[in-house]
Amino acid sequence: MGSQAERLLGYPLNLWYEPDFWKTHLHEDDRQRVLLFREEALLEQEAYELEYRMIAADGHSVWAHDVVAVERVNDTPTVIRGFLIDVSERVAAERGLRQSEERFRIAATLGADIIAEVDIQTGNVVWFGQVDEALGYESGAFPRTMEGWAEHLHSEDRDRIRTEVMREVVEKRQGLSAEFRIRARDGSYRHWTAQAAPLPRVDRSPTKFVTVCSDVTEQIVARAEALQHRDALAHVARVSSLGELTAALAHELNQPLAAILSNAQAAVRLLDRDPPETRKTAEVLRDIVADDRRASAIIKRLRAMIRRETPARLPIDLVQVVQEVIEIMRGELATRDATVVCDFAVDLPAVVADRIQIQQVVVNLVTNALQAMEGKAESRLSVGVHQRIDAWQVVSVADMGSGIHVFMLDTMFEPFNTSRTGGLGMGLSISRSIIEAHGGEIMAQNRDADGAMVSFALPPQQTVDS
Amino acid sequence: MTDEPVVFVVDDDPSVRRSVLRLLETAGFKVEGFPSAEAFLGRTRPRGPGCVVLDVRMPGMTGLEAQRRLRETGQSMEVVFVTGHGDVPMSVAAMKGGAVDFLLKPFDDEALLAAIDRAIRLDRDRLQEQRELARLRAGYDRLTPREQQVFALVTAGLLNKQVAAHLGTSEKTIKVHRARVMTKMPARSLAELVRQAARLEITPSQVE
Repeated sequence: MGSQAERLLGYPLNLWYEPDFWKTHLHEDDRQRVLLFREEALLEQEAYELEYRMIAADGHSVWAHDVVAVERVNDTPTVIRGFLIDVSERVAAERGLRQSEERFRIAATLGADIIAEVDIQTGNVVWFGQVDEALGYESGAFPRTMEGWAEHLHSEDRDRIRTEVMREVVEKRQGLSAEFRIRARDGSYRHWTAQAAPLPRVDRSPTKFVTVCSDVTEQIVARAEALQHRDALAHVARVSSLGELTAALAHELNQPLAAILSNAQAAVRLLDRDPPETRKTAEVLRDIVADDRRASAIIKRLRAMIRRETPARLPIDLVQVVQEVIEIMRGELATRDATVVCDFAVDLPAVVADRIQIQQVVVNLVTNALQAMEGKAESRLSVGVHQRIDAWQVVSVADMGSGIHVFMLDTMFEPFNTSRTGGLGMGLSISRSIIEAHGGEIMAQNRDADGAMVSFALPPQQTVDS
Repeated sequence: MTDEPVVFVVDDDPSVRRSVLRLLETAGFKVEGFPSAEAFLGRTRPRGPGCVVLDVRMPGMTGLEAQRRLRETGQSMEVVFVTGHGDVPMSVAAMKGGAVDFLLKPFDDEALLAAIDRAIRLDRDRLQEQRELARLRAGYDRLTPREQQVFALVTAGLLNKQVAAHLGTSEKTIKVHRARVMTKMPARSLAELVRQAARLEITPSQVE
């Protein structure tokens, strides 16, 4: 016996020499098996190896790997030389592995996850879990090959996934994470995510991969719905007030406009007569003047309406408001492939304003800037928030469009002033009404480089009329 | 009896009504304005051709509703719609209801006058048709029952001999009846008589 034995169980060495020490310190569950095996081995006079548990001094069981050689003296087996190694850790690891394998199998059978073991050399796939059920097939009907699997991928995903698998898994023998649509029996598509990892092999590079697939269709659908919902909300927030207003406005304004046009055309006919009917024409012109006044009264009413809505006056963080707008408009920015460069001052004090109205203004400015850059190779917006020396806070939106025509610079904030076909020209006019109602100012300028910058400034908190 | 067309203008907005009436007057139309669909439906239809320029949005009865009433009560009249704020469903409803045109305010005089011309032409054609039919019916009503029988059988393609056999009389008598039918209707040829029968929707079974 060597000192190894002492370390194995924590008993002093001399105890090992006591008769039956070894026998009495065998684990109860193993004792019979070990003694029986030993007896047989002695009879056969063969060396043997055996693993069993012993009870250590502190009461724990220790896994021992026993290598026993039988030494013969005159052909009679006399001395047994044992060699004990503590293998507790290895045994524990093995058992853990068995357990995890079991867990893995159970998880694959019970859970929504589908696990595949893929042999990239043969292309064979062993499916754990209910792959057939998940895709609506009879048990065992879904292909058990990589090629068969690839054929079930959505045609828009197939090439991409194939390329990724070839590059990452087959060539580099690396793990891979992918998302794709896979066709079910009924022709519908399920969204799957898959994580593939190589099965480690010591001698050669791995040829087998374990892939865990999860059906995330529900999440994807929910995500899409949430996105749509958010877009719809943002859209409603953006257009409802403006849209309703302009619809009502269009209807109301079209009445005097129709009267003016008909009257003017009637006047032309009256003057074309021989002799011209000047008396009647004068009457018509007076009507035209009246209708024109009526039209401008409608616009005055509209602007008053925007001012009258008792707006909320709460301390708001302008940077946050601008960030929210950019967030809301992310979809729009993405479809236009526009990038936004933000330059926000830090630690600005709050300003007292109506959050929704200020957002509306920022939306208008950003929308205008995007439209100004329509057709340009690059769409880049610079959005900034900073504090002026007089403590007013300024929000600016700059574009890389063609700039503002000199004629427009003075009138662009008037209603119905638009350089776009199809635009009503109300955005900036409404924006000005809002900013002025806040005691602020709105201004536009052309930048030295290409493009224009429209900005508004709001006074610091204490100077706002309550 | 005057055949001068009349254009009705129905719009609740007085200045629009006034300007459109004025424009149409200077273009040479006889016009009449109404501030509401109800007032318009309550008037008596003139004998001559006409059409109505109808605003879609009005307090009380809408233009579309008025169009439906006109149709339902058999007062055939062509409609040109005008509106300050039209949408697609509105215009579809109007055109399905048989409107001649659907104009958005402010509209050009050319567009309005072209639509009115078209409407009046359609109305005149229809009036012509109605009058002709009334005249035919009056002629037919003047026929004796025997003559109506002969009219039906002859226009169904039977020869005089066959008609005589059918009515149990002589071919000569039939010839006399037939000549009276031609005079009373009046018709210059058998072909014209056949056309009249078709328009009056006369078949032999109706007079047996």
